[in-house]
Amino acid sequence: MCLMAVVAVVSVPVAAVAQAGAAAPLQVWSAVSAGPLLERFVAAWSTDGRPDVRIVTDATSRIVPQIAAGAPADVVVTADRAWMMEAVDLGLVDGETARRVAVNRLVLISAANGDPGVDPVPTSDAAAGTLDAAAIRALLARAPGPDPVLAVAGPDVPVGRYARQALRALDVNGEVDHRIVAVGNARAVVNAVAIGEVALGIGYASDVVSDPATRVLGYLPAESYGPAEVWAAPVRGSSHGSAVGFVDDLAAPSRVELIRAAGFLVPESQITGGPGAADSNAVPPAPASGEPRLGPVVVRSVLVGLLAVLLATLPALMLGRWLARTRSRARGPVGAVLLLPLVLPPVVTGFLLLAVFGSSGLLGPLLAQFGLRLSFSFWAAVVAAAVVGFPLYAVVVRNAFESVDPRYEELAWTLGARPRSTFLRVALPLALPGVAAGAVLALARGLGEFGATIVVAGNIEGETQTLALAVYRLLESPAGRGRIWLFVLASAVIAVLGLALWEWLTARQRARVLDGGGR
Amino acid sequence: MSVDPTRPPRSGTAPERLRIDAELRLRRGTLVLDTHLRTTEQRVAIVGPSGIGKTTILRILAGLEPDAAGDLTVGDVTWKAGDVPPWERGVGWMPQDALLFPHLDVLQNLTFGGATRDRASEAAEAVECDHLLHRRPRNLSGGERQRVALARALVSARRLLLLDEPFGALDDARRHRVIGAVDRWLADHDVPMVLVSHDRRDAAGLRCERWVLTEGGLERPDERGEESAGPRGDQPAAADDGQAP
Repeated sequence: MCLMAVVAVVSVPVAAVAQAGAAAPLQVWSAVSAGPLLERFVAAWSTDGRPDVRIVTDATSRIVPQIAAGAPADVVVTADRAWMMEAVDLGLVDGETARRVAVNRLVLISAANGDPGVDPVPTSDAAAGTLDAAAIRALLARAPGPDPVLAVAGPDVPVGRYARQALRALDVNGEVDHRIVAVGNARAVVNAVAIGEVALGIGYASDVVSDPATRVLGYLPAESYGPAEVWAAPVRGSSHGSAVGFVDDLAAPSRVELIRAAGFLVPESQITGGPGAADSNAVPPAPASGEPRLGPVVVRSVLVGLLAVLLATLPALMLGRWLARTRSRARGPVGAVLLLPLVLPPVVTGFLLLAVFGSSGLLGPLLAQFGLRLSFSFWAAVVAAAVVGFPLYAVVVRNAFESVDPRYEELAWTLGARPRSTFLRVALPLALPGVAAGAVLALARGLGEFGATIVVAGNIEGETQTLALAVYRLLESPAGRGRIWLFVLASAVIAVLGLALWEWLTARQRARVLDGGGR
Repeated sequence: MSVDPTRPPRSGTAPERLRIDAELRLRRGTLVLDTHLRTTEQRVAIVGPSGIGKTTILRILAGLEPDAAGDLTVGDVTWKAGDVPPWERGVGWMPQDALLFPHLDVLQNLTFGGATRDRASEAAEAVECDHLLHRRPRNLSGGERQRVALARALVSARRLLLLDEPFGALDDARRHRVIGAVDRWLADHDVPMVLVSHDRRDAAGLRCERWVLTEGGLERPDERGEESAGPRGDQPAAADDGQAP
């Protein structure tokens, strides 16, 4: 009975937010740079009775550790060989099943409407547009001032490592290093340049193909950086029957044209110019299947916030009440620890949550014994929002109880009410406006939660992707630059509605406590 | 515990149950209280300057000062310090500033401790607030609040009634009538009372034994102290240690 209730509570929100059909979708966790390629592939692949595919993209350097921490990936796609070998070393992947899918090229880019003074190189001509050290120096010299002008991904991200390798091999790193803007992943490079924030960037040719807002100034010499290979492999822990087939199909010879159309080179094949990436303009743009959809994202965000508040209410009431009334010496330290999630960077909170609930964390294995997985699930987003919102909640509740004259409770005692009954009949009703205000505050904090959520729940479209995460995803998406305003507007509307609700609640409760309301 | 404190008093011990024998010891910041209240009178009034600890004495008697030391015997029941919690004492405590529950109406305030509606109405009628039963505390005047708080204390006082400046907000005519009503209620229900007031008329109207609280503790004033207390009685009546703060 009790179990059924729990199951019902758990399944309702998941069912409400999951857009997919009956069968579990195949989860492909991929390097950002391989995302457009995968979307093209999936569009062709999943038409003939195959399972739905959910593509989750982030920097390879984040994808692999997240899978190691228990993310429910069925297939992993990395942007280099090193991270795939790391996945093998971590036991996430069987080396025999890993396939090299495509090869990428590094390009120096500028905004399409910028004027770096260099004729753009046709994306079809790989050899002709190769830049040498002198050309790069000349380009940098045209960019004004000593300010950072070159967007490059971080050194752990494959595209960032390749770029740094190339700059070193060309012996221009001394002049360039201090002018680098480090960004999160390959798409972020292209995006930073496309919106004009940074004049130049070193990114992947494949990303430029799918983004008309940038143009290629030239290729970096292929021998100056390690082969930028895209690797795919089924994840060892996955029980999804289609994972192996997905990887093999992706690497099949028949996919050559698709890979070229996505702006990649085909592994171990000679590029002679002519066909290949030049055809990309003839291929329809990749379907935006991985793009967040506003309705489900808003519903999910509100649901996550409300459930987080529900989850936090009882602990916040108990702790807030205790802090307000206790004379214990533990009050000071407990009050300080309570505030910790408020002052800790949310990312740290997320890391600690992962250390507790992750598949190799403190409680993760215990949960796994019951077939439950918290990390990288909808409920991880709820827990993250609850934990981050809890301090605000408890502090406001504490203030509410402190504002109630303790003699009301003493009076109730003399009238024969025991402490528990006194709490329910006197203290709680009198503190109710504050409790409601705390709940709304926690809700607002939960709706805006980002840092802890992305660490412990990931940015999984259709499952953990809330408004904040969707906006983050759209920041790096070529299609997102227009649609992002929709999500921003939705965030603002929800915030205003929440504030209005708070005002209404507070006024109502205040009236009720002070004069008993209409009777 | 040998005696059940919630048990109704036996009628056979009626003369004995009027005995109050209380050790009152408490240290709270600058306030140090260490005194003894021993009487066989059924009604006691404590007077003394403000800030000396009169209210604290009532709080100790009500069981609201868990740090207080000393025993309290009311009739055949002994409440050792911190032994019997306030919700088991059956006292009716009327604090100085009424403290009506703001989220409940007058009737709900009167019946909060489990009193029947009839008994609540009886008490409300006695202190002239039976026409207010469905009003909220916010909509009451100061005097009305005081009378409701008094009624609530009367209703819940099974063992001991504790009144803290109970008539201060009442005009003279009504004060006279309400004091008479309390006098009859105490007689009818056979309940002892400790009253704290700065006004000697309260003590006189209720035929109380007068005690004076000074820095030195509680004492029965002699005739001369009685004279010097004056009509307001709020200066130290027996400041014999000469060390007023």
